[in-house]
Formats: sequence, C-alpha cells, structure tokens
Amino acid sequence: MVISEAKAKSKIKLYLKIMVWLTILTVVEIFVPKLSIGKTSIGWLLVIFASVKAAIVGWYYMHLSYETSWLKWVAVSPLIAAFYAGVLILEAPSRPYSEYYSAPKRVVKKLHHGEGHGDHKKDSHDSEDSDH
Amino acid sequence: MGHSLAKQEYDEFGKASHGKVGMWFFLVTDALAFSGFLIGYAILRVSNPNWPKPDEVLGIPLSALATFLLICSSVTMVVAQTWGEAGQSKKMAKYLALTAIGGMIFLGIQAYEYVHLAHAVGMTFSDFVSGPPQFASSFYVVTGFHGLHVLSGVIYLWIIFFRTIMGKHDNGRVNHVEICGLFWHFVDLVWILVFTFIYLL
Repeated sequence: MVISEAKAKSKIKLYLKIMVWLTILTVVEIFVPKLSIGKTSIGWLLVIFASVKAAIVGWYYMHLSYETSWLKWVAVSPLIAAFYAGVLILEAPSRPYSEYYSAPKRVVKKLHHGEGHGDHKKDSHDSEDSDH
Repeated sequence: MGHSLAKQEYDEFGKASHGKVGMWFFLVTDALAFSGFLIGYAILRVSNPNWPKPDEVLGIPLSALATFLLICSSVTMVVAQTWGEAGQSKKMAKYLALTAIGGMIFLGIQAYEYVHLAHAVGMTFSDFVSGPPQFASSFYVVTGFHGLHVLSGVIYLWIIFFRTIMGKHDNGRVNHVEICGLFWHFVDLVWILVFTFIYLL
C-alpha cells in the first residue's frame, strides 16, 4: 500500500500546479464584475468560473478521477439543484412584488433609539396587557 | 464465499472503502442543503428590485484572501494525505496541522468580517441599514452555515492529527485521513461557489 517517496513528490507537484491554476482563476474572477459587457454576460462568466474551479477541486483534490463511474454519478447528483434553481429564478419575477421586501427602516430606528426607552416600553406593554 | 459476495456487492464503487462511499453520500445531502440556501438567496434577490450590489457592501479583497487561504489549506490536506500514503506520518501530521490552522485563520477572518459588517456597515442578522433586511439575513445564513462547516472541519482535522501522532495512520493506512480530506475539500468547494454567488455576482 505504501507508495515511494518519488511518487509522492510527483503527486504533490501536480497538486501545487493545480493550486496555482485555482489561484489564477480566482484572481481573474475578481475582475469579471468590473468588465463592461453587460450584467447577464458577467453572470454567466462568473457561473462558468465557479463551476470550473469547483470541478477542478472535485476531480483532483477529492480524487474523483480515480473513482468508478458509479461514484462519479453520485458525486455530481446534487447538480440537479442547478436545474431547480433555474426554474425557480425564472419563475420568481412573475410573482407580485411584496411590500414586505422594502420595510427595514423602523426596525433600525428601534435599534438606535431603543436603549433608553427599554423599561418604558415594557411598562406600556404590560399595561396594554392588563387592559385586555 | 462470503468474501466474494461482499466484493461483488461493492463492485460499483471499486476500491473505495465503505467509509468513503458513506462520506460521499453525506456530502451529496450536504450539497443539497447548501443548494437550498443559495436558491433561497437567489429567489429573494430576483424578487427584490432594491437589492444592493454585493461588491459595494461586502469587502471583496478580504474574502478573496479567505478564498485563497481555503485553497491553500486544501492543498496542504492533499499533501498530508500523499505523505501518509508514502508512510511518512510525521510529515503528514505537520501538513494536517497546517490545514487545521488555515481553517482557524479563515474562521478568524469571518469573525472579523461579521463584526465589521454589523458595526460599520449596519448589517445585522435581521436588519440592514441601507437596503432590504433579506440581504443581510440571507448573507449570514449562507456564510454562517459554511462557517459551521469550517468549524466542524477544523475539529475533525485536529482529531485526525492526534490520531496520526498516536500512530493510527502509519504505514500508508490513510483511509480515515482521506475521508476527512473529502469533507475538507467539500468545504473549500462550497466556499468557491459561495464566494462567487454571494460576493461577486
């Protein structure tokens, strides 16, 4: 079962090469959102970058390249979620816009001014209760 | 007879150990859990015209550094396993420790980021000063769930590290190390996706 040191070194060399590629892809990816090619193209480019990087990690670092086709199919089965995501994202804008989405302010105010009035609020709340 | 039966039964997965196949199935379910959160994020985002541009709110350079760090710790993990396969447990232990430390630094960066976002940017778990609260909540749900995975991974790595020191993974017996590695690489893989979808997109 034990492999030779030379073999280990050659494997490690490959892993380091892959790391360099992952780093290059990450650095390039950071500048993708700054391109002036339109939102949709940027989105697709980012999806491609992320998928390629994820596939590299799975194939080399998680040793999928050594596994049987059965295990490979098991490993890629969560990709079904991408299809599900696609359907839901295409469907979502057809729903009516909810007011619920745009009401953060009042909670923020409470956070900023609430400290001194904590007790007072509790009192009023209690009296409300006793009224009922 | 029994032996040949067992062999036949697991031919689909070749030489992969039971533990490894088990970890893969767990990772499939875990990937679907992450998918659920990311899809939730996507739905909230496309339904909301006021969604902020993430790169204007979140710190890209810091999280890019965190991404690089996780990639590095993935490398130290495979290097650890390879030295283990070559029967060099001491080198394996060294690289396992480096991997775990990489994960701990990642958690430190994330803790700093959370504190910074809460105090300087006004993003708390349930609220966001300059936009829809869903932006803050979904951000913390996805990155927090991932952070918990990093924490689990770090604990898992230290356990494997101490087992290595105790001589349980000598002479190329690295099955457990490889299974731990699968989990750790998965955490890295998920972060690659989270970084793209939450920070850059």
